[in-house]
Amino acid sequence: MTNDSKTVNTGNQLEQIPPAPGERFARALYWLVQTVRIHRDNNRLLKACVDEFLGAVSNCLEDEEHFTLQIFRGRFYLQDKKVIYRMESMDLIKAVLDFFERCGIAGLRIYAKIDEASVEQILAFARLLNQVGRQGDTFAWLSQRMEGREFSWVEIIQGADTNNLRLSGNKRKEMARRAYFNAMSSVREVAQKLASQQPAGLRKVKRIAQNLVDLLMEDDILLFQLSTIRDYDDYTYTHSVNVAILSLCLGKRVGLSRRSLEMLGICGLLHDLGKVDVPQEILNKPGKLTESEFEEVRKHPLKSMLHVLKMPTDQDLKTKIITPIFEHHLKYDLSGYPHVDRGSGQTFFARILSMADVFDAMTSIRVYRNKAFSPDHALSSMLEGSGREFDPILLKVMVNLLGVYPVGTLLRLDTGEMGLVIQSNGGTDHARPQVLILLPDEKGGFRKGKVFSLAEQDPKTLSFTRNVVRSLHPSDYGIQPAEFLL
Amino acid sequence: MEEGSGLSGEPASTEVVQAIKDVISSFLTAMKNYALYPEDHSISQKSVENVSARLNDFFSSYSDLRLDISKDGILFESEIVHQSPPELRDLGFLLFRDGIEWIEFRRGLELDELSRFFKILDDSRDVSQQSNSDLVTSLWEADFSYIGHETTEILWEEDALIDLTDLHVTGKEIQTVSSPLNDISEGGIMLQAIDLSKWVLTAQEINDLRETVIAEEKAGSSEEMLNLLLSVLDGPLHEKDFKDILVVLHDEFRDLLAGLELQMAFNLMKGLNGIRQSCEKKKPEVLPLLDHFLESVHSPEVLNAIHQIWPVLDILESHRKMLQETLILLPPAAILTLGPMLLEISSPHAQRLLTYTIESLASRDIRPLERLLADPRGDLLQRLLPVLRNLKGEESRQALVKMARHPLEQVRIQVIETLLERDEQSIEDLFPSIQDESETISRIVLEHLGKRRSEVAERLFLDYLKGRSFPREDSSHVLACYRALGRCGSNRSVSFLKEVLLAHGWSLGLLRSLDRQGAALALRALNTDEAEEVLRKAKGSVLPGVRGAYQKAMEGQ
Repeated sequence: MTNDSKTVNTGNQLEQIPPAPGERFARALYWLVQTVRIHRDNNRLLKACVDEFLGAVSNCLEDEEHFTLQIFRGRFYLQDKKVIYRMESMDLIKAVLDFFERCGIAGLRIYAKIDEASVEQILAFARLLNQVGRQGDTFAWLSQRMEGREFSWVEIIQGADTNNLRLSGNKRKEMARRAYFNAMSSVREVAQKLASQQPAGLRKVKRIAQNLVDLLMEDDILLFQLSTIRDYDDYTYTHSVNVAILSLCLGKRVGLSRRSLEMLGICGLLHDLGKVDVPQEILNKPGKLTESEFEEVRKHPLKSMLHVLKMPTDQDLKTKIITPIFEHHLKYDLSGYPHVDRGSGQTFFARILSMADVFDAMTSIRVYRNKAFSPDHALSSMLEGSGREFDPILLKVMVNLLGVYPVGTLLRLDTGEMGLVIQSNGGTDHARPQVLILLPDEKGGFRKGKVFSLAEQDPKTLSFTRNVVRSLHPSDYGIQPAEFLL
Repeated sequence: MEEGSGLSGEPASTEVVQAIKDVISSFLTAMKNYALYPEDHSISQKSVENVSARLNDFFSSYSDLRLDISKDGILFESEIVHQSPPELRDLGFLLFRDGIEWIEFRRGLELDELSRFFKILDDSRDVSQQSNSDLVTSLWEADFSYIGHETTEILWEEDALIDLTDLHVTGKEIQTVSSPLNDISEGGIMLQAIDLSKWVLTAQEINDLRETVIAEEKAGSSEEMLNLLLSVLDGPLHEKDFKDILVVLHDEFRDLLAGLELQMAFNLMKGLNGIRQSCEKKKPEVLPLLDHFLESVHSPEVLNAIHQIWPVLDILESHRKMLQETLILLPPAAILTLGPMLLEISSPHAQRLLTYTIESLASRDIRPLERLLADPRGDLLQRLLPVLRNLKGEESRQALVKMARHPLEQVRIQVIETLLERDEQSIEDLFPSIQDESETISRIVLEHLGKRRSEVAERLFLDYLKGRSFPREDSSHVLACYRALGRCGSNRSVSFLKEVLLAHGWSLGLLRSLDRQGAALALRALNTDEAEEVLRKAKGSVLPGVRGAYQKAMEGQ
């Protein structure tokens, strides 16, 4: 671990800008606690982590006697000032926030006399932090362990005020589901108003996009899990919300700002608005469309754009969202539709939007197609279009984001079990995600079993305890993945 | 930021409540001032400074200030510190209306953040069903560091949370085993799991992506949108959609001008002119729409943006050039808006730019300029004269001729001078002005006509002098006309002048004497052998009147 952030493997390959002091300290602390778990005191990497930790401390102290890094409503504050993170560090910061939450501590106060602390004392403290998350009354346990030892250079701030800590997992899930259905309802409301020639505003859609961005920052895995929601009867609206979510996940991964993410989210929510102008009998036609029917369908990106154009939105928003909405069926090589000759490539947002759109469409059962691709196969298929249909770089980002088996993929395991992917393995083995075992229930459906990591090995034979035989599509078994994920 | 507000647990003391009431009172004053004055007005700024001072007093005496919002008012630790009347100018009501549950002001809050907060409050007062933002969305976008808030979902029904088991992942008629895609998902053709090592981003790709993202964050998308809309207009499009896009472009053009995005404004006008041309054959049905757009885009509502941006334009030549090129693409009727600006913007750069633009537009169609010239205000006409002076062609000449009858002498003088310099035809049109009620004008015309030999002028003078309407009672005018004839004429006039000078008879009396004198003057000015011959005869004439006329002419009278 060194000060050079380029050398840090955080699973994200987009970091170059030096971190702010607060972010640097949070990272350094986190990596120290992680590294001390697996290395002995004389390990070079661990020593480098201690050096970086002390460097970060010195950076935060400046000439002060002490500094405080504290969580306040889900965000870090350094000396009362909100820590601004780089977008690419959001994953790591979230991990540090999770870590603090697990430890039951709201913050740390570090004193300048850390200069007098030995490396061993610092490592001992890091080991305590490493163990504290596994204890019952975490704060009491930690206080007891610290008592009488040479830790006068550090003070733990207790997370007594629950307002200060992030929302609990269940509360977050409920909020996420609520945001999802509010999003559906808002898109439906706009569409219905437009269909009945009434004026529609974007206030709700904007709020929803902002909610989704907040959720994304708070818990991107949870947000991604939401995108597995499928509703055959209300496809257009679930699809719109799913495209917004997938786009946001991609946008965050490439480092878009909060404000750009808001706009990208709005693009996703509104991209299919033009379908209100396509006759229902065409949209709901079970078989293959005739050329003239398909021609009608092909008009929907233009219609979507025109609807947004006519809305009383501010100019900034309008200029940012109408082109991606218009281009979401355009391909990277500018084939696709609608074709206009304007001498420039597909916009960045549209490139993101089109990938999200295709992925969600391929993994959903449609009225004209009674079978869907499983998420991993949809991704494999999309990879074949790299450089032609999709931006090759963004597609790589998407593959790395979703993993070999994206969340919501149903796997047949060599144990005979069926496992639903609930989280991609963030480590090196992307082909071995965490799965929730689904067990048959009495009603012919499924119930939740245990969660396993497919990277788990038998300690004796060192062979994997479970292996993937093949992927399946949840819809083939009537499974709504979100029901088990949320 | 200490624990919570630092005051929790105990009922708020009277002093604390009073301090909070003082803060809220300063808030209300600032809101009122923001509603009345621009945000950069000294009154607005002072009121924010006052809020800041009150807050800082509070912070130093107590802690961060967290206020809960209820339908009845603003609460501090369950105690109402402000009753909210249901009025949009009230802080509590405004916050409550948009679903703010609590709002918190933290130590470290700076003036700039506070000013932006009041701007947001002011902008958010007017929210309708069709709005695209409100207080909550604006606060989110502001992403303040020291003003926190929590909202409740007032825009959605509480029961919006659908049970996921109620959603169907498939249609009822779906048969899960009959699709060819079964081969993909259930065996048969088993796709290989993705080998992620093949999809790792290279250093170059990471760099490219980073640059793309940076560019995306920086770029305004107006250009992108304009290009798109122009392309869409050029393709197959329903008339109504065509019209809708033009409405957007109208506003966009105004904003581009006001925002000094002159290259884009130019591109937009150029694109639309191109589309208009291509539509003449491809889509004649949309031509009226385009024409209406082009008419509306030069209205004062749009072009008045030039007033705002002129201080910058005065400094930047490149911007002036781009504006000029843009304005030239407007329809000639834009002269009606641009012309009066000549009186409103005093900068010499502006005068030159507007004059050139008007000249260019008038060269395509002079009628709007003519309408403007009908304006009785002489100062505007004088500003427009340089335009007319440079305009070529019969239409502009006719416009000048009309203006030569303008009631203001000063205007007529300038018009006539311009016309006289143009060509022979103008001489013919302006010849009547030798009888202008203004002596100055009459003199100018006569002097001008006498400056050079001109067959046209000679003919006109001959006709005039021979005509019955010739005002012989005005002796100086009579002599001036003869003198001018002599200067512009030729030997063609000699016979007439000879007849006037040498003819016998007394019937015309004094008037005849004046004519003789004039004829002698003209002949002297002609300065030809033939004229000299007549003058010699006059000198030796038996008639004293003839000799006298000769004598006066020689003396230069």
